[in-house]
Amino acid sequence: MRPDLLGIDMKKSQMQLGETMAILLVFMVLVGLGFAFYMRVSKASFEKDLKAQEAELSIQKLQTITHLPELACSSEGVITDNCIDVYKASASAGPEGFFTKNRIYYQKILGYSSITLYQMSPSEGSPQVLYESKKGSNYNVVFLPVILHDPVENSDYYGLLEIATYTK
Amino acid sequence: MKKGDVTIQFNWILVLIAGAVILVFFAGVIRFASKSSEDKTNLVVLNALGSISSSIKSGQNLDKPIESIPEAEIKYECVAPSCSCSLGIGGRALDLDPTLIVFAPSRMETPTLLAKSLSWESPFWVANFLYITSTSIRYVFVYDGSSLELKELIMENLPSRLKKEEIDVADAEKFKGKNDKGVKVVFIGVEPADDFASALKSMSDEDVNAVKISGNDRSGSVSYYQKKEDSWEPANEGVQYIGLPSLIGSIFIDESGSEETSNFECVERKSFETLKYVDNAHIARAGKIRDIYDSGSSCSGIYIRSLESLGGLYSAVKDPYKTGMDVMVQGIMQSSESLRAENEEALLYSCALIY
Repeated sequence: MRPDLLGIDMKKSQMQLGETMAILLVFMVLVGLGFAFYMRVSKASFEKDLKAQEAELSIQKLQTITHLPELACSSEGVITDNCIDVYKASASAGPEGFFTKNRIYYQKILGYSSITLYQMSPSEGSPQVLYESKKGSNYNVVFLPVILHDPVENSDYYGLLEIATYTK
Repeated sequence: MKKGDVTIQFNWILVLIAGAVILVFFAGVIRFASKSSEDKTNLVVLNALGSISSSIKSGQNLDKPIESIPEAEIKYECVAPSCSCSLGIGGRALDLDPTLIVFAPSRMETPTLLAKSLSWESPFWVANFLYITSTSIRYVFVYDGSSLELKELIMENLPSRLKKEEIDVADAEKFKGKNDKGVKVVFIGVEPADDFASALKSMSDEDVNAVKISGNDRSGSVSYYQKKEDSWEPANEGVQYIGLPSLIGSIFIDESGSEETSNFECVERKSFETLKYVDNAHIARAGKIRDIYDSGSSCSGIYIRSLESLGGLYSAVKDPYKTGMDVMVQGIMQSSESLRAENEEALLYSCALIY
């Protein structure tokens, strides 16, 4: 075979090889760019959803707490909405409270959160920390006005429930 | 070998590599789409359960369908010895609200599920029981003259869209299969009749099961059966229940899933665990109120007695996963009766109510 002819054949195949490689490379780059853009958009959307979810979680926690039989006002088994029995609150608060003494159980229900009860009327009382289980330093706080019922005096006061839900 | 031949071979190798890369890419896209579909099903069910949980907490007695769920099989299973129960889709467990006590069949098919709640009091409000089932399951309630009243009470407390029918045991021969996806036969105060299993012979054994209820709306026992061709085979020895909400729960749960764990017993024990902590809170509250009243006063006396009853209740359920069911049920019933009487007394003497 003549070497010059051999040389021409080699260049042609090399060019073809080069073309194929180039096409593949361009394809990969386009796919990579598209994927990177999609991931960026997804991440932004995901972070927005996560924030909304965290806020929703705080509200759900609020609902859970105000409807816990351990705190809710009841009269012959009938529960009053958004009402906290002052003696149940007193029994649950602090290091000797039943939430703290049974932390492992209540951790499943209340998670990483802090629950504080403020008496607003007839006079402002000192805040009662009903439950506390911290994780990290990021948290969402929600407040709910509640009725504080004294079953001995049969009287009602205004209170404010603060729930700080710790996020990741 | 000619250079041309080598070139052609190289080209083919490159084509194969390029083809493989494209195939892998599209396989990834398909896998992603499939996962998204599963996630969508999870999301639909999770959102529905979240909304259900909120409704229950706002005091509503729930009775609603969960519709338009993408095609999936939903499983419910409890695992011994911790009795942790979970609802799962496609092998992934959903996070259920831990305050809810859930009764559900071990397998449910979409697109429509039914959810119903009842509150359980013993004697104070303890928890909300949530019943979940599928519209694809046919419930057959078999009774006789002596269990008519209990049957009526049960029927009043079932989900409104449940696929159900009632049949007197004397008419057992008239019972026919209807090409259902699943059948649950509930024998209320009657022995499981093989006529029903025989009529459903063409169905797969795992799609047909039964429960026998012996007792009344306050307490009794339930025994589960699995169809074995044309007869019933006992799935367990019988589990005690207490209260109507537990009785209703026994209808929706089944023992088809696990040989080692009784699903119903697990959920019952979980409810007793909740009772333990709620009772603990009531003990602490009653102690504080007792200290407020003058010793020797009627109210102080009532609270001293109530603390004994609350303590008795706590003793009955302090080890809910180890104590025998019959011991716990007996203890709960006795203490609940005492507490009811003491609460009535507190009302009579204008003392703070115990619950």
